[in-house]
Amino acid sequence: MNNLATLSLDQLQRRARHGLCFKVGAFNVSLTTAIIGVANHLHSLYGAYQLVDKDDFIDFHVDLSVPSKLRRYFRPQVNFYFDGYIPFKPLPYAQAAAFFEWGLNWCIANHSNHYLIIHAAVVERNGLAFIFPGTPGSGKSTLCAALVCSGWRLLSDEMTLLSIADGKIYPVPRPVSLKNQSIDVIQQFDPGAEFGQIVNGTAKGSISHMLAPEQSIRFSNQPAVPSKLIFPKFIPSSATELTSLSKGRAMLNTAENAFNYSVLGVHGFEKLAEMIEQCDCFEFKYSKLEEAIALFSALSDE
Amino acid sequence: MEPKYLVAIKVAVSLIRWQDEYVLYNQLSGDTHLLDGVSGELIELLLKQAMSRDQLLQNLGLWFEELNADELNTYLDDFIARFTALDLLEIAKQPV
Repeated sequence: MNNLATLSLDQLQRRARHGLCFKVGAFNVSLTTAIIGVANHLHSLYGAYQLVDKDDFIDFHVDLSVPSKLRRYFRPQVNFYFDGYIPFKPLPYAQAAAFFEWGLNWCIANHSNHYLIIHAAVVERNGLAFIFPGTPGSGKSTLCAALVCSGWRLLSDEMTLLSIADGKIYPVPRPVSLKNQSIDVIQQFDPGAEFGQIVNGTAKGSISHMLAPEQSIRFSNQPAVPSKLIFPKFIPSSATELTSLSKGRAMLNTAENAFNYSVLGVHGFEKLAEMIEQCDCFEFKYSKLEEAIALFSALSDE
Repeated sequence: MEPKYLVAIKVAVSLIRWQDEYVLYNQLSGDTHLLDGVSGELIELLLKQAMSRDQLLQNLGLWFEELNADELNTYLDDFIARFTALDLLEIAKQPV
């Protein structure tokens, strides 16, 4: 099956009007939209994703469209539809591509209970998954982007999918969402990194998405073994500091960062405990990405 | 004669131990709690069977020979109060 890069922008736009189906990690997504900004976003950042047939099983049917004709001219807005209903209030039209990313995050987080879904970036090197849970502002996405730019495999910058069946982490590599100063930080860290359009004025400030490495997308059917659980905290001018965290505290902190922990009940508790058991757990303070990368690379070589 | 009471675990729980910490999952409420080692060991005892206050105190005394009776009583009172407030323990009248 071909990937999205085989379509010209014009072909992509035409197919998206009637439902463009593609694979994101273990999920098949059907996106219907006539919004050019969304088509541009896919054309720039989703080229390596595999197209799937409309007759294949589709996990998420997503539609992005303008609420009414009037809204095309007066403070234009966009609605996100999931399986025909609207889970969110509309957003400004200029944020349509970002809305697609946020909406797809929501679809996965709320409809994939065969995984325990932790709000955490996850990357892999030497077969070992490093998991970075974090609240907004902790610097997890920046750290994740820098690691990915340094050759680590991206599993996700946003959600760690821990399989209830086998305890492995399943990839769902997507463009890495960066906001505000992090965009400049990563552009300076790796001038070769490719970004989509910068969208200003969102609820999170200015955001842009960094292209996920083709290699990460190609290997998105290969799970990784949880190895390190690291709670990052970006503190300007701080020294790089990795300190052990007790497994009990790590378990509690991770449960608080899991989207569907309460939905899964005792299965979520048991699976999370298994993961914590096999991970070394740390708190991590940093301000210099180069030092962070060197430290984690050394840890993954041990 | 005063009636005797038993301390009992009120709901289904899962308990995991890592060194001197325990993590407890309340299967009814879905709440997860981080416990110090001693509280965890008391819960482990109570998971096997309901126990009287005296029996719990006796176990605590074996674990902490250096503590006096007042200190052991204070710890046990605090333990029972905390876990009763969390709806994990109940004080039941001992069957005759």
